[in-house]
Amino acid sequence: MRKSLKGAGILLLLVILVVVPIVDKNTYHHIVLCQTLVNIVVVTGLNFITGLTGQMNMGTAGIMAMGAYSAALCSTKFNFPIIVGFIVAILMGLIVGKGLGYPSLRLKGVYLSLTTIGFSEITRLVLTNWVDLTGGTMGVQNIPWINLFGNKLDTSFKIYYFYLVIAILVTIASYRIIHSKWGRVFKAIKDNVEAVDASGVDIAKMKILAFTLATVLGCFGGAMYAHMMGYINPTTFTQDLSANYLAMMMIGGIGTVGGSVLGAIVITILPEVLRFMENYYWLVFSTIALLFAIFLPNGIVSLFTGNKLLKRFGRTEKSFKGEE
Amino acid sequence: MKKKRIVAVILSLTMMLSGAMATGVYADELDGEIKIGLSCAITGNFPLAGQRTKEGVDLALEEINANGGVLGKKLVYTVEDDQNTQTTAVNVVTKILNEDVCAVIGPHTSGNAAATSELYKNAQIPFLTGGSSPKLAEMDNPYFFRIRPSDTINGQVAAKYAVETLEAKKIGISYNNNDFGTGGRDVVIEALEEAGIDYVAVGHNAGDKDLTGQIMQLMSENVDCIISWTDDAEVVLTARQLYELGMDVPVIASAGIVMDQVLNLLEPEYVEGWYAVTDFVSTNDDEVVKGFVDNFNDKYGYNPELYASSYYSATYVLADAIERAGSTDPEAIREALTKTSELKLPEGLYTCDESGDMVHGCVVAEIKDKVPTMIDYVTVE
Repeated sequence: MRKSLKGAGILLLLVILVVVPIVDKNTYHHIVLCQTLVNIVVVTGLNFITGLTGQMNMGTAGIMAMGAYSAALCSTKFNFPIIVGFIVAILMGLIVGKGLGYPSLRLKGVYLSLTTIGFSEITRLVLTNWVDLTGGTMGVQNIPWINLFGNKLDTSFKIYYFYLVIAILVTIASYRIIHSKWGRVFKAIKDNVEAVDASGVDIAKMKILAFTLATVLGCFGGAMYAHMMGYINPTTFTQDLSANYLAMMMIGGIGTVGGSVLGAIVITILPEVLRFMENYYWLVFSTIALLFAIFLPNGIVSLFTGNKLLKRFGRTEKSFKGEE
Repeated sequence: MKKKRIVAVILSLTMMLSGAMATGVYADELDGEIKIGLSCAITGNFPLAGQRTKEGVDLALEEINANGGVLGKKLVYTVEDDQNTQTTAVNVVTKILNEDVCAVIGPHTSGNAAATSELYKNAQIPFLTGGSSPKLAEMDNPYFFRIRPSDTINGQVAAKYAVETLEAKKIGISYNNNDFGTGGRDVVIEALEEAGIDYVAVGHNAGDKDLTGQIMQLMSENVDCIISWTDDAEVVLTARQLYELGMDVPVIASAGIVMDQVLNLLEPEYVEGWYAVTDFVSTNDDEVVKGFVDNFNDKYGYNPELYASSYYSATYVLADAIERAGSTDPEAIREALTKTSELKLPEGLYTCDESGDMVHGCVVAEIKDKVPTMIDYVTVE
């Protein structure tokens, strides 16, 4: 019963995602939806390392920047076809994943966070100062549109459907990974490293794998961002952006695909929806995010999975009654 | 023609003095509305800039509408917060362009202006920005108009002033190793080489906490004037350490130094007698600037700074162009904007050149007891 309900929910979401841009011709809405899709890809990646494996990665901005610049420079500086740019972005993700994965074997908690922040900031500073290659603070301009079998994706409406397909594929793949052996090992590493070690699983390999999944999707998301915007500069990829992705993951629901998708949707679209409040919209948005964090500690997705809803508070209420 | 416009501006300024009552009366008589867009950073890392921007535009609109509006219609705006980030700027500009506006003011920073440039080009709507990077002019976008002097102009003015007025023989350039700093450095060096003046350039990085090494180098090279091209935190450090190390030569600094938020971090003696090249200082006794400062002060209770003055002026530039275009067709307005000439506003004299740059000079101010006082307005070709 619940399963069919869940299926119906996903189908409904899909229908909405496909139909909305056709009905609603506003380009502003299209561009926000495109960003949502990019964010879904990035958050789904982040979910592997931080959500499932429990390794705090605060370097998402740096990872995205690597992907975005790889793709952008390939197509502007070296005039490679766009597909090459995307492949280079994925390769970059593999390299960064291995590179960031190794320190994570020895570092825990706050020290790993610091390492990833360090990586992100170094990336940003290099991109800012390596003016000959990256264009410095003025960034990379005139990044070409994606050309898909002779169709130029030159409006956010066209990009949307291409990115929608990518996002769906990423989500399905991610769902399959989470419910595979890999996913179970990731979760086990988060819960009890020693037990996983004792069971004969190569923790080092799995941690690096989780990191690589995150960086590959992060870099891919970055490349999507670059080709959607047509222009990138280093000031976009600050610590705020990394924190934003963490917020999406946590508010949506840690460790689940549904949570990542919902989080990306809510955190991207909500501030734009609240714009009618003018000067107060960011205050209201932050308050809503805070309330979600307090009352839905397992994320928005726990509203749909039922039982976990407000469990913590329910229990407190009972214990109060007991005291009376 | 030139006189007529000066008169028009002064008139509209004096109209303001007659108070809010007039606003109500005239606004009611105006038939219809002309809508423009405004994208500025009301939240994010630079909210003060956005607030001053909005206040400047508000004041200008109030005056313009009190003075009969534009083409007999009321000039209104739709304002959106771009948070000073690229993604949000692209979002809000797309949003504004969907709202049937005839021209847009903002976004402010060079990066965001570059990010939204294509959107404006595709929508064929002119935009006026205060992004000061010289590279913006190279975008080759006919819909781009810059309502502040570009960094090139500030740098040229600094070099010109050091050589011609301060009669420096050997100039030390202290620059920040970022785009802004190195951009300024290159312009200054080019101007100095042209004038045949000896120079020595030393760089520092954003976030440096000690410049003793750099300053000692300048001292040992016996420079007799320093041009400092750096960001807010670093200019504060430069000033303090120059004072502490006893280096007593005239200093010409980039625009940041005249802002209260920077001066408040300094002891008066650190920057006594410093020069600054900047768009705008409120202590200018030019008629137009004075009128603007008084009106701004009456309305908000404090003096305007660079953002308020830039975007106040931008609103007038736009109003002037719409009036001359005789219609709200964006293409006609663009055409009229390119023909803007000799329009005197608080931010300077506006004449549009072929790359969309409208201001070709800047203020040289001297800091006395932490108050920047205008000493000269220098224009360059």
